[in-house]
Amino acid sequence: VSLGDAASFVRASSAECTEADEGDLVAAAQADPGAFDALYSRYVTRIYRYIRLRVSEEQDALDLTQQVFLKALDALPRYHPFGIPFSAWLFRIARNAVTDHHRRSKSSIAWDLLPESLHPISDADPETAALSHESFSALHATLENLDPYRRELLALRFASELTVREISAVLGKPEATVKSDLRRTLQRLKGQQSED
Amino acid sequence: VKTEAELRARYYDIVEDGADTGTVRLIETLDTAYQSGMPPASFVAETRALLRQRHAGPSRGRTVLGLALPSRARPFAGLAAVLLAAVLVTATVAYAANSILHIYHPEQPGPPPLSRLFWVPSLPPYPTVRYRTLDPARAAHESGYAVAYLHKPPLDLSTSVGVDIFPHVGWPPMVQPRLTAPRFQGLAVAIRSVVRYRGGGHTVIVLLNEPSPKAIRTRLLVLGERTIHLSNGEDAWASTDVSGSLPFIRPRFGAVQVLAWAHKQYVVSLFSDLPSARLRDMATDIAVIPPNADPRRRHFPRTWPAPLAPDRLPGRLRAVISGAATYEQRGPKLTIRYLVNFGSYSQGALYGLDKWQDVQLRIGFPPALQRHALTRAPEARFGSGAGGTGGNISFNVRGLGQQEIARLLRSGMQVRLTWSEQGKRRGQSFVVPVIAAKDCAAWDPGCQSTIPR
Repeated sequence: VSLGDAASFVRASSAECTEADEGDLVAAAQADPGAFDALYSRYVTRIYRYIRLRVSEEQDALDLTQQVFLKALDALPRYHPFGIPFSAWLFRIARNAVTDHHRRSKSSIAWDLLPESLHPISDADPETAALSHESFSALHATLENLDPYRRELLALRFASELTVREISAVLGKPEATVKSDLRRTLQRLKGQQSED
Repeated sequence: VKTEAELRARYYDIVEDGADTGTVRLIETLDTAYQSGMPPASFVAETRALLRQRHAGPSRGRTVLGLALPSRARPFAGLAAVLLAAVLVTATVAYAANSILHIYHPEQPGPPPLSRLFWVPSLPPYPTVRYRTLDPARAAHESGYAVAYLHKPPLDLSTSVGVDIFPHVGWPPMVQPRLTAPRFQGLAVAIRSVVRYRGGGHTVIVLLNEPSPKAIRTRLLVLGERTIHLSNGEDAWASTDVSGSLPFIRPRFGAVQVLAWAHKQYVVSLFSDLPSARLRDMATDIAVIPPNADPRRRHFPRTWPAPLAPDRLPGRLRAVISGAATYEQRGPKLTIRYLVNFGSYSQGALYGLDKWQDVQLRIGFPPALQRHALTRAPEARFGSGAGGTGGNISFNVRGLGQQEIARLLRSGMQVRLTWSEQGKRRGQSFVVPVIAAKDCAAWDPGCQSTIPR
């Protein structure tokens, strides 16, 4: 059994547990909106990170994050667990909220580019911190060369921690396509970094 | 820091088995970079509170026959400036002809006479309350002011007893007539005394209110959402406040029980986190001491201990202190008139609004209405104690009937206030109840306001 197989098994098992557990949380929240709190706690950071990557202003990101959860709470009775995973449903709301936001504000500001507020604060030693900063700056520059679709893929996979399956549900694309696009994006990033 | 195995496990669906170290390092960089941002803790808590308010819904606060009572019924609510002043005034007029309180019985059949209703139990905003550590009976006797208190407070609530008395200054014609429609002028509730008992982690507040002569003369007073009978044979009115706006009685959105009844021209109320059955027992043990008939003999003795500092909520800023809105639908056009008051009740005073800059108000409606509004609060409305803004929002709603609109607006509108203070951008959210304009009643500050019209 390769390390990859073992990792896949661990990941798949934990994903199943998470989904089962999440199903219970969703059912509880549908029965009693007071139980929505658990879902909110689970997703607030991930939703915020996704939105923060897609709008230029921190305040807008906070507003939209709040909107997403209010909308989700209102719409929860209509969510059907046999459709898409709850996570994908929630991120669809977030994605639509961001799209609406851009439409309303007619923003032309580039997004998905790791805003300053998302640069990690390191408690490592100065040398490591400097290296980290350098690598993030390089990453930032590399991301600028990606098209919005690929930047969104990265945001959904790394900031929102969605699996390929969940991303495919959010974007409405086949799982295989999303997987292949993500792998190609990684290869491209790796290639650009090694060129630099 | 995640190990390589952890990274491979986490990203099993995009990292191939044979992926080299360079790929894993890239994954590590992306993982670290993308997962470093966190929403501010205050924002997370604020949104959590907002969600709780939302699912509790304004209509689950104090209600009369299912109608959301206005925020004025809550301690921070109403037109802040008007209410603040109005609650601090007292009557100098005689009550001989106006001493009967007409109480509304929520159980009575038929639609409630909304235009005649007037909500009474009204706690003062907490920064204005400065308790003195005094025996309430002594306080009443020595000051000559009206005080209501527990005759024999239960031992478990006697750890700390505080008394605050609000001196009589007379009913004003109206504090800010410009802000109040003529038919509502002269309607006010005075606060006479607030006595707080604490012990065993619980709080009981005995409040003595006095409605204004005009309110007594012209209104049906609403004291609670259900009628109950006390063991002494008298009626009282109970309600439950889940608005979370009584943090010094029950923090964190716990339910606060309220029991109120009429006594001569007064309304006595008990507010507590204790079960309503205990409040019912206490209600028959309340002493109400009238004021000294000679106004010259009403005073605060110099020998009294100094008042304690007002209660504070560390780290908690209540920026939006009240709000009210009404809606009206004519054909496809939906008009919402709103009024939002903001200030700070967390710092012991209604402080420094003059230090706020670039105040913005974002108003969000239920998703089906697909409407958001952003407004910049006019600087002119900032005073030294409270500020506020109001306006109309009109938009077309197609395909939604009156019942659907009513259903959608039942959960209120979301108001998010943001401002700059000392170089930092801050924000806070609030749910403002929205009621049909036709259901406006005297106790609704949104209806009283003339600003949005």
